[in-house]
Amino acid sequence: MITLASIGTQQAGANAEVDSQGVTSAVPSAEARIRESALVDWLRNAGSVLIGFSGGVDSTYLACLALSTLGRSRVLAVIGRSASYPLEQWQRARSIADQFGIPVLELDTHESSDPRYVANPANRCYFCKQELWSVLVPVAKERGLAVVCDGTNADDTAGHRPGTQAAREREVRSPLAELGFSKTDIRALSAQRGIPTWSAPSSPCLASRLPYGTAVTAERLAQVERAERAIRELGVGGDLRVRHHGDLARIELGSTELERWLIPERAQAIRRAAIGAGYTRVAIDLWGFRSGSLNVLGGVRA
Amino acid sequence: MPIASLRERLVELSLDVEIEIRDRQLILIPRGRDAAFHDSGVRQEVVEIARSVGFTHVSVEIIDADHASLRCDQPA
Repeated sequence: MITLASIGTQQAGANAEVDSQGVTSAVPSAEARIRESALVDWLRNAGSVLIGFSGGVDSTYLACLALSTLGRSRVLAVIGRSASYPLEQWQRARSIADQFGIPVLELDTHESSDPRYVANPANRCYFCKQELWSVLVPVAKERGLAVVCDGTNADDTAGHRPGTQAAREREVRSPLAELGFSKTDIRALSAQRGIPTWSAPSSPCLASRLPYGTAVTAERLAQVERAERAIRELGVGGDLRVRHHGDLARIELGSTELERWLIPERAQAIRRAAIGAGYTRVAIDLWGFRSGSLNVLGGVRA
Repeated sequence: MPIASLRERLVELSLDVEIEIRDRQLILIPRGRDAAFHDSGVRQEVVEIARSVGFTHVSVEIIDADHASLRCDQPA
């Protein structure tokens, strides 16, 4: 197990640039360092926290900071498992928790039993988060943890995020957003602390691959997951989304990868991977990866 | 949506493609195997053309290589 105390001042290696993720340097800015100090104060004031933990960039950084500030007995990271949570992300979450000694609890959530969620309206995330927090908040009360929080950051607050309403209703706090952390801040601070998610692509739930109005079913989510896994296995790095349009898989890649994989032989490999996952037609988006691109298609201002 | 002018612009770029429209998505279906979409200049122009006529997404379908060869080899 790696202790945060031992790596707290560790500098990132020479491969500290991840352009496709918008990170140009792993060295935190002075403002980011000030925000981190403020976060430490925030956590001390909270006293104890339950963190909605996905193993993604943001919640992992928050969990690591909470652990180093409060200690194991006053931190619990909870993974909400469901069909929309990719297996690989679960594995990464478990691996990171093991690596750093983060106390973890796994609980099943049942948003797929809610017809309002399944119908996949533009505020689908609200129903998902409503379910998540209805499961997690009581756990915090049972265990005497003072504050429930998530990894929402300041950049997230600018986009279409109906899930934040559900968090507010349950008095779930978002310290990274409240203290002004950008994604770039979090990546750079994570790199400095040796947290491996610093360069990980953003990883929203699988339901975000289905256009609004397309019912969220376990079969569709599994199909998207299979296709993304198969394409990853080809060596595709950075951002990747398989957008599900019925028989057609529309693949979004980061700009660097788009350049590499539009070469005909490689594009054929992507096609075969998606066909193997159950699609009959495969297209590569020429615009490349755009976070929330289906919001645009659904007429939602992101 | 001025589809005719869209077709004209694609022809100007020497892109031999069929087009399919789904909602506000434009899907380009190459008639030949190598339609030069790996050229970033071509790609950027296509995206700009699609945006200019109101599409929110533009993608190129990856057609089966064997199928494409057959189609390429067919006499005009």
